[in-house]
Amino acid sequence: MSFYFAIIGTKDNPIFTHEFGTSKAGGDGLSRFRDDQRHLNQFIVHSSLDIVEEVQWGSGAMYLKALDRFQNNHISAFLTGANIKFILLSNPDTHAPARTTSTSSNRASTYAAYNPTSPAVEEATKNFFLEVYDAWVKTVMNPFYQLNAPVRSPVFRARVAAAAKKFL
Amino acid sequence: MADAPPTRPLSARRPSMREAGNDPLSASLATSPIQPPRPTSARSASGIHAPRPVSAGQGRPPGSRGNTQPSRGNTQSPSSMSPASSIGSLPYRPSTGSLSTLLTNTRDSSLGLLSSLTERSPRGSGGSTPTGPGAVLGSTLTSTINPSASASLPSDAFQASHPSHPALPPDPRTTLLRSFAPHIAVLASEDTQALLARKGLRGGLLQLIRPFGERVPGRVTIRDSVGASRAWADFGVRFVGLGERGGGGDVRGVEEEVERAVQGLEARGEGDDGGALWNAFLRRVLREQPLGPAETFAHPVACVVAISSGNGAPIESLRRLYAATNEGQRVPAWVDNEYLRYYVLVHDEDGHDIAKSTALYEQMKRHFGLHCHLLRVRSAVCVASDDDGVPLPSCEWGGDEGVDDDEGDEDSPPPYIFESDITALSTFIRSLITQSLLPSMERNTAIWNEQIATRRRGLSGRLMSLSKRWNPLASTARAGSPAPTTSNYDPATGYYKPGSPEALMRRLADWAFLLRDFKLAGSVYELVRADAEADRAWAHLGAACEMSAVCTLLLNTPTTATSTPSSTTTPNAPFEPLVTSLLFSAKKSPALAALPRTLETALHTYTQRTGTPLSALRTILLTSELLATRPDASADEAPLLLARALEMGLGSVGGALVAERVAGMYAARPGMGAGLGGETGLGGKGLGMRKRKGGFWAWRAAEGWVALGVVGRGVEMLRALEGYGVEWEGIVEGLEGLRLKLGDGEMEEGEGEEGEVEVEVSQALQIGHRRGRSRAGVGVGAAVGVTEVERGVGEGEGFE
Repeated sequence: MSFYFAIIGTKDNPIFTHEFGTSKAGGDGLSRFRDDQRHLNQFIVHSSLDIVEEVQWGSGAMYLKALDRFQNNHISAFLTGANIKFILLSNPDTHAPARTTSTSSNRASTYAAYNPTSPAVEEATKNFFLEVYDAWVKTVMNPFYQLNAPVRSPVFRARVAAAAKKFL
Repeated sequence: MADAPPTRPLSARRPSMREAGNDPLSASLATSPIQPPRPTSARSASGIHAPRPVSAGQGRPPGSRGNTQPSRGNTQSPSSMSPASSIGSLPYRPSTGSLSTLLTNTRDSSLGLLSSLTERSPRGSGGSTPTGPGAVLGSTLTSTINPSASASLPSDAFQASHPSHPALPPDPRTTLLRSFAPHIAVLASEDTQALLARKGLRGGLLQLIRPFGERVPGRVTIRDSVGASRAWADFGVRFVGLGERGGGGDVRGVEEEVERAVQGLEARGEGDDGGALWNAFLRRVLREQPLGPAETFAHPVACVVAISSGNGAPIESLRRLYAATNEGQRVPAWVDNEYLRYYVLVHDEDGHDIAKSTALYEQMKRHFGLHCHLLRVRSAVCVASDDDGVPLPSCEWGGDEGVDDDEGDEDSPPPYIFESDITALSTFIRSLITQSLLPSMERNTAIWNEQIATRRRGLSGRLMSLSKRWNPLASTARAGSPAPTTSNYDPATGYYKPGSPEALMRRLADWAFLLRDFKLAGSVYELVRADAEADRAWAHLGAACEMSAVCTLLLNTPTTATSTPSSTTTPNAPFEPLVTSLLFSAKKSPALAALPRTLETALHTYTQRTGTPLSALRTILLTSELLATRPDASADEAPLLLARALEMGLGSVGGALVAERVAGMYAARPGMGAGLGGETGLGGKGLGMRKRKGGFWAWRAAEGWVALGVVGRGVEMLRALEGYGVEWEGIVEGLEGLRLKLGDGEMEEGEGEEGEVEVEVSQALQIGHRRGRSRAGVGVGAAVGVTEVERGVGEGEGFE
């Protein structure tokens, strides 16, 4: 299971991106995207903005849940009060590191059953988003931060990584 | 009445003829000609042999013969049939009745005048629209119809009117409707084929008449099951060889054809103007109507049996040909033999005496009834320099040509035929369709509907199917012995016996669809589907679901743009694994509520149970194109659905084409209102548009084309992507990589003939460069992007 997390400004510009893998089920927290998928991730996230912008007017919630997918890349979104978008792309079956056959088949079965709308997954994603939102609010309260400027703070990145490790 | 013929000279031959020629007679009676609506008793008498499994169409109930005698009496004078057919209150049929008297002497002086009047203008304007005279003629003769609309040749209209946007093909409904045309088998005697081979048509009669079947001159009025008439300008039929298996290919085969078309376009250096390639692909997939047991679209609706005037023993050969249509080797066992036989005498205008042919024709009419025609063609070879020679029109839906049938084969120019031949052929086709084919189809549809479908819909029918399904004895019998007693479905061979109610119902539905009575067709498809589901006839189930979905979409087309709010995707969407969110739009348009399930069943059955991904592909293309034309929110589903076509084993060419079309569907989606602008991130984009989705798919299409080495299309797609996602380094990198690859491809191919494209590439690069720079400084990604672009430009300029 690999994730690609992006914070997108009001002009469709990426403010912050982070790649990580799952830490559940013995995952090492590293992403396993293939090299040719790194472009693809950005394309997918960018194209899902169309859906995000449509859904955001139909619901009052900040957490927009899973709303788009391309092949097996699932997109969940979270909207801040300032129309900054958190987009999480989750890809269940980018190849796992070599393991013993038993566990890999185990993992394969869990991947096949991966369902981004299941309550557990939704809850975990939501918690992740909320934790990041917490850190995000503290970051943008920095008086020197300007809207849509990229965030380079290592502290923020560390907190995102921690949230990822905790929930995903 | 028929046993006392007025002509005595024939009576000597008659007894033997009656015996031997019994079969043709009975066949022409079985699918008996036009009749006014009769009392129910007579009607059921004539139609009762339809549901009963008749052995090869020979045994007919005694009642039917007496019933059809009057129509044989009619054959003595063709004009006397027009009152009978005018009962249907079809405005044109009386006039075509007079047309039928005209066509017995096609070269009549008045007609010659007509054609000489009309022949100049189309040739002067079109140059390659040789059906012009025929079309004009048809509309002139049938004076009640609108001449301008009736003369429209849809294929030419396609060429002329396709929009400039590559992703918008001409109306998919038209393409779809034209793809479902009744199939008419053609069986010609050897002497006919020899006659036409002398004329330069190696394909014989089939080659000669095939192009004309696609473009029936004039409007064609069809009556539906409730008696309402509707005129169609684009009705056509498809002529096939008897037992010729249309389609039956696989996804790979289709794709190879498309690949050839792509290479052809690329080699000629032509751009794809207006999605011609997608159209070709669509047509090729839609043409895929296998002669299978599960659907009867490719089963012959009629058979043209032809002899020529040079035949020594005409009646003998007709009888032999008729027998050939009945024997099992030519058509598979599941094809119902109960169809119309139409007898044609091809008269050689240059070599034979018309008086003799007319006498023979009269004799044919007496024996075979109304469904006869005297077709007068010249046997002399026509060359391009001849004054009245015109090239034989090409087939849009023909069987031989590939997808690039537009201006493909330069090596073999189309044969030329005379204008008079075209006139004769147009008349022939029109009379075949309006006087024989449509009435017989309408009549059979009505009979089957009344006798089978209505009965099934009724209470007793439901009880019967219920008892079939829930009978404990039947289920234990099925578990124990392999032969279920109640079903007509044979699991070993995989088809319903022709003539069984299930098979007839499928045929009824298909014929109703061919007659464009989608309401009746849709309701019968539902019945067929229930039967197939109960019998576990998977191929039938998939086919019924597919057509049921198509009917639903055709029926429930919103006519006005009642644009519902486009927030079809709610955040708490149930995440259907396949058709993602059709379920939402079902909420918006209740008519489509059953559509997702139906589609899902069809696709699942095709891919998982029968293993025919091409049929699944056809389903997807049909439904997604129809969905895309809808003005309401369900159009959102079209690209989602179409994207699933990629799962059907399409290779790189098909993949790129589909991606391009998906991009087009997204791009064509209108936004709602004006862009909100400002800080909302919607500036100038408008809510509800799918520009970014479209861009994503355009990139995928470009990637596909570049990987295939199809430079022109790749450049085209990339040009559409200028300024797309410039803040995203990954996107910029991806696009830049493609541009570089394009550049490399150019260099390898050499600069000789492709110089023009190369200039385009570098122009595209420079434009991209400017765009990149102008928007730089927005984010860190953009800075990286600019350096990337500059690198690309540097290399691009190096090539020049």
